[in-house]
Amino acid sequence: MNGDTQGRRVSRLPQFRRALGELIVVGGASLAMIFWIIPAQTSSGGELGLSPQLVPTVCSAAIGLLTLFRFIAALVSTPAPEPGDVAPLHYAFSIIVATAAGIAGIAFWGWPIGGAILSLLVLLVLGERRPLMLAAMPVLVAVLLFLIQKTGI
Amino acid sequence: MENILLGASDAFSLAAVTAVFGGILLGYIVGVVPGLSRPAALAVAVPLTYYMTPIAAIAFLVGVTKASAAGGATGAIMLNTPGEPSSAATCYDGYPLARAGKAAKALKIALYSSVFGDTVSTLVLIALAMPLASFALKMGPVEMTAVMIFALTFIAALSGTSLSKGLVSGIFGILLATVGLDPESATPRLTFGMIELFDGIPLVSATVGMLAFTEMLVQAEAYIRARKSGEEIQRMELLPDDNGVSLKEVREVAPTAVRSTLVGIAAGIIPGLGPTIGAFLSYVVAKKFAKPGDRFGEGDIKGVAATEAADNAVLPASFIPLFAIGLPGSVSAAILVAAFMMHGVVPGPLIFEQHPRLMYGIYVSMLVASLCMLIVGRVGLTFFARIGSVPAVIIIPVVIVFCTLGSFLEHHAMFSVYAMMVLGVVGYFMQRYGYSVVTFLIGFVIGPLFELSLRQSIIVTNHQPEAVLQHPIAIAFLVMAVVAVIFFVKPAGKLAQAQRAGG
Repeated sequence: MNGDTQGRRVSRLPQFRRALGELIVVGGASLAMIFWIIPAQTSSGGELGLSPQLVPTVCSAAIGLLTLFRFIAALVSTPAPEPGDVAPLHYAFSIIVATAAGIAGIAFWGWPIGGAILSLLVLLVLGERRPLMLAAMPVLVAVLLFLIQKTGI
Repeated sequence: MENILLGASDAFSLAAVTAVFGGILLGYIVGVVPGLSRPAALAVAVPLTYYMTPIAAIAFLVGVTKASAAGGATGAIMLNTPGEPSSAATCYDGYPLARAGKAAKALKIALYSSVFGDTVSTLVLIALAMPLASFALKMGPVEMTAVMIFALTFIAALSGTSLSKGLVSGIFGILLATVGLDPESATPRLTFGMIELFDGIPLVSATVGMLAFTEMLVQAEAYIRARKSGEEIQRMELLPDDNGVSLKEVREVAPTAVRSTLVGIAAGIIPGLGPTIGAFLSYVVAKKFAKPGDRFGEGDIKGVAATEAADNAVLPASFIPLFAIGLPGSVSAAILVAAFMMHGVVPGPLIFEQHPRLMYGIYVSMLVASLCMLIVGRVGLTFFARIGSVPAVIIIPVVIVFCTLGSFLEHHAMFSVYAMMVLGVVGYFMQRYGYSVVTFLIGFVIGPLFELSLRQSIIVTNHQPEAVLQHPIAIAFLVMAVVAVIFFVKPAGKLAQAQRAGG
């Protein structure tokens, strides 16, 4: 436990957990970039200027070092209070899934039908259940996308 | 004088004025709809001018270009969806203003600042085309590298309370910008065998995904939570008492608009910088000049004025090197070269000797276009300001559909849509864990230009760093970069300390 400047007692544990999570995810990703992805996905290049690997490697190393710095800073600094009201992840996740399904619809059936499916799925995820709304919006979206497609934009 | 009067009479002919007005209307639509980019609209519009007179043709294209810059602010303010990448910086203060019920005020400030920046920049073009163009000629790869290093210091300026997180985001932007063909050896880099990635990650997909799609995810989250908990769902209602622009506000905003216009003009004259970097830079400068009580990032009219004045000042200024030495300062200016040549005019030092009447006609048409932009924007504003009061349950699906459509239109490829979605999800998680999407975009925009000019510099200087000493402009920008880092990092550290102290 530790105290903040206003005298409240704030646990160090959540900050440590968050910093450790960041170190594992971001630091791990930068290590994977440096030792695996960049060497596998770039050629060594010519001898005229810079190697194609240089900028991505420097960027990945900088991200890794900054994340390590953040982790060390989290260990020694005064813990800040946790951000309070964070929405559950599955709300956004459900919209992402609906969008992905709608985009798949566009890829398979074209813009008017796919766009209508996309808007319908998003409406359903948002909790919309009024039949008129569920019918009207996809139709309007389909007509709009059909017209855009027809004009050749 | 005779040529000026003859040019003006051409510019005020019915055909030319109608062309300007048509161009402004088309440009405004292009600007408002995300994904319909200015260069793409210009490329489509060039063949339309084939049967027009040279003055009407150029006036039409100038109208398209100018209005698309001004129209881009509408989506940025109302939906956090920039119509153009150069309007991305307008989201930072424009969207919070709209959410606070001041959408009409934000749109008015954006419009007036756009017209101001555009008009002043046009006047600078008319007065100083020749002397300023010689400066553009001195900008070689070494100077451009120094400019880009200076520009990268903006990341520190916009990092907010956590400098380290801001830097991580900015560097991540630079890293993602390296995807594509290597600029020197033309070998694929981080493309995972996908041909679609050879041109890099599409810029519109990145801006639409990171700003608009991410915002819709956040909005949807808030909407679902409010609905499930039975809370009242907030709408962006207009506050009737606080949507005008008072004289006091004009006086407050004026210095910012003037400074930002100058920044925009500088970004236009230097070939390669363009409106996106100009808008970001002017936002940083405006933030640095903030007075106590200014609320940049939370809905400050100065933030809107800064980005819009600079964005619109870039285009006329980018004509300075084009008209004077034949060097286009932006993609739009490069496309206009094609239009000039189609009508038998070759931009360059001889243009004023060979076509004086046409050139003065174009200048006057550019000023007419500024006036038309004000009229069209002011009329449209009444309608656009109502978008915010549309219920979230309608806005969210429609904007998500437009996000997919907008990203598709950039390259007419589904790959851009997939990229938009992936980057939107990445942006959502970045926002959720406090990583700045703004600094990511700065890194993403500046990264490729920086790498290219750095590589060219290394070749030009034959791997000898001391050769920089022979480039005084580059040294000046490097000194400015060092000063800027000290200037930006110090307050960021203080702000973080204050936040920690305040809990």
